[in-house]
Amino acid sequence: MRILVVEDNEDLLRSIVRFLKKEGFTVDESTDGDEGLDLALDNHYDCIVLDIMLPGVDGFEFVQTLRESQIETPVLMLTALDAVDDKVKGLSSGADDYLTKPFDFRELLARIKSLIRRHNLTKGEEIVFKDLKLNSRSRQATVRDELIRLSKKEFDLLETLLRNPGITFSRDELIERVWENEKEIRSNVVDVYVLYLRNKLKPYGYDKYIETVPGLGYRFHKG
Amino acid sequence: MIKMKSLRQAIQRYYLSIFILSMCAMAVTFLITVERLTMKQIDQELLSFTNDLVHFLENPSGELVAIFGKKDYSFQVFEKDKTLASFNIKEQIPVDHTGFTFINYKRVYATRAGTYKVTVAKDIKDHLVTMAILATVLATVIVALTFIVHRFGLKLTERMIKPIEEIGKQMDDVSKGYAKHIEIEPTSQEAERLQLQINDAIKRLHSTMEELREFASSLSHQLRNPLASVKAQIEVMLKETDDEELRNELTTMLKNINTMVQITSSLLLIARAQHQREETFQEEDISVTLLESVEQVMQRFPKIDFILDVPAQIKARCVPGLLSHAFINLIENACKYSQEDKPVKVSLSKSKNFVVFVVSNHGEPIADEEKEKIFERFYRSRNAKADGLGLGLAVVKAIADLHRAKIEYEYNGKNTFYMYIPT
Repeated sequence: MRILVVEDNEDLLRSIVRFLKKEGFTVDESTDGDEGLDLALDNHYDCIVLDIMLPGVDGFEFVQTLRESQIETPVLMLTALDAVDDKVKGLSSGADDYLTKPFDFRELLARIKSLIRRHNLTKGEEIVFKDLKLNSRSRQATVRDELIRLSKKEFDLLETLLRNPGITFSRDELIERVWENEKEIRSNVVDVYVLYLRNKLKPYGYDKYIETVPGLGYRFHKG
Repeated sequence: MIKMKSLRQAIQRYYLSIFILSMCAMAVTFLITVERLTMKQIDQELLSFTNDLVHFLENPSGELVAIFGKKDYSFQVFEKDKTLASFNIKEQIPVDHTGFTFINYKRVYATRAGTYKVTVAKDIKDHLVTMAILATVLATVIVALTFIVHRFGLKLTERMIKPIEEIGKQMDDVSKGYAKHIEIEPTSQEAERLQLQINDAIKRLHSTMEELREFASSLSHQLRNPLASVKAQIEVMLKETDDEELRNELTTMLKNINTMVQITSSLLLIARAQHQREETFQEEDISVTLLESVEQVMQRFPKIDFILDVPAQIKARCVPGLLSHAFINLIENACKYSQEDKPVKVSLSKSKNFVVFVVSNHGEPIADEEKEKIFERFYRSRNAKADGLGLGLAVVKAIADLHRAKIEYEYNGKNTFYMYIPT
């Protein structure tokens, strides 16, 4: 697996690179936005770890140029907990993720692995059910080309159910799939999200396909 | 605090009492002077009448005493205790003394001339009535004048006091952060100058505060990069060494670094909350913001059971990036102080003017004397957990203030925090 790390704080960059190499990744590095972008455009990477504030092009322009060049490599943004946070949040509601500096390396690793896994799993794939389309790459849901604004978790939940029609998922199973490394969660959070999802699908009449199976969980019922 | 009298009342009381006192003094002086002068004249008349009488008694062949037109006069003449003559007198006027005296609304003069005793009196009822009328008129005039002065004074005091009151009110807004300067209708030069001076002071205070905030903000910011690299370096070293002793040392270092990271994060958040402008607020789906916050806390407290009552698509104007931190801190606190095996309940609801966020846990209630202090920076409650820094609720407070949200704490069998976010 090949990773590009672009970070202008050289000390931090050295540690990240050293850590990722130790974890078995092949790592390219750069301290400059322009140089990093050249690397990203010329090579294939499985994931890019990108600081936002960079000399040369900044993180936002970096990603934009990348996407305009049809390069769909997942990007993990590193932010510094300031006003750009909100902007990042908006941006990362799609496929990409962000991490606030200083971060735990365990967290960094988990996020990178999750991004790569998801990316490989869903390369440009589209799930279609009647007029409802889910694009796993852009993480957008549409009905007759009209965008349904789903949050990350809502999308994951719908995707999980829609990929396995007719199969009943227990709440624990859904937590395991949608919340990934938060397996121990004990809460009615699944019910809350199912409710949200149904609410958002309701205007298009698709809420009725998400069925509650009493005592067991939820399933997507085609027809 | 000592209960102070209102300045307005004090001024009114002061000038009214001075005015009334001086008016009364003038009136009394006037009355006394008039009285004195009149009495002097009456006494003069009595004396000359007596002289005439005595002259007549001693020289009976002399001129007659002219008593016509003097019907308010009366006299008695005695010779060896026998009445020799009397005029216009009913009761016996005792004459065991000589000189001037008052008897029954009469001014009386008694004297001896040879073997005669002469008593002369003048009725002064009319004079007393005149004086009484004069006194009444004066009193009426004083009352009327007092009323006029009071009304006029009210206006004057109003002009004096109003700017002060108005400045006070507006300063309240300034200190609450709703206004950045004061603007009054200056009723006098002094008030205008005061307003200018106060605005100058506020401006300077603001810029000083701004500098301080910027300093705290940039300091925290600047600290985070080296902290991030030190943290990263320690983590790499932990990964690479098997030496147990070294690992222990590194773990302690990491813990301390994490504390520093938390402090800088909190200070940055507070600085951001105080810095943010209302124009940057957006109409946001708070339900999603809250759920994402809950999920972050869930990861950190996998053993806690969460009960969520969060209806979809509750919206409010806010800065979601900051509001989420307020939610996270409050929910995290609820988890930290929760009894084991007891759930933490998080709910969101919409009322007419507010979105109400409620988080509750089963735990020890917060002592009354601590309720106010828990929102202060670096305040640590007596039963605070070891890993807290005393900044969590200060962050919540700053973010709530930014959103003009009210925070309330209540113990109703459960520790419950409410946050009312205006919509």
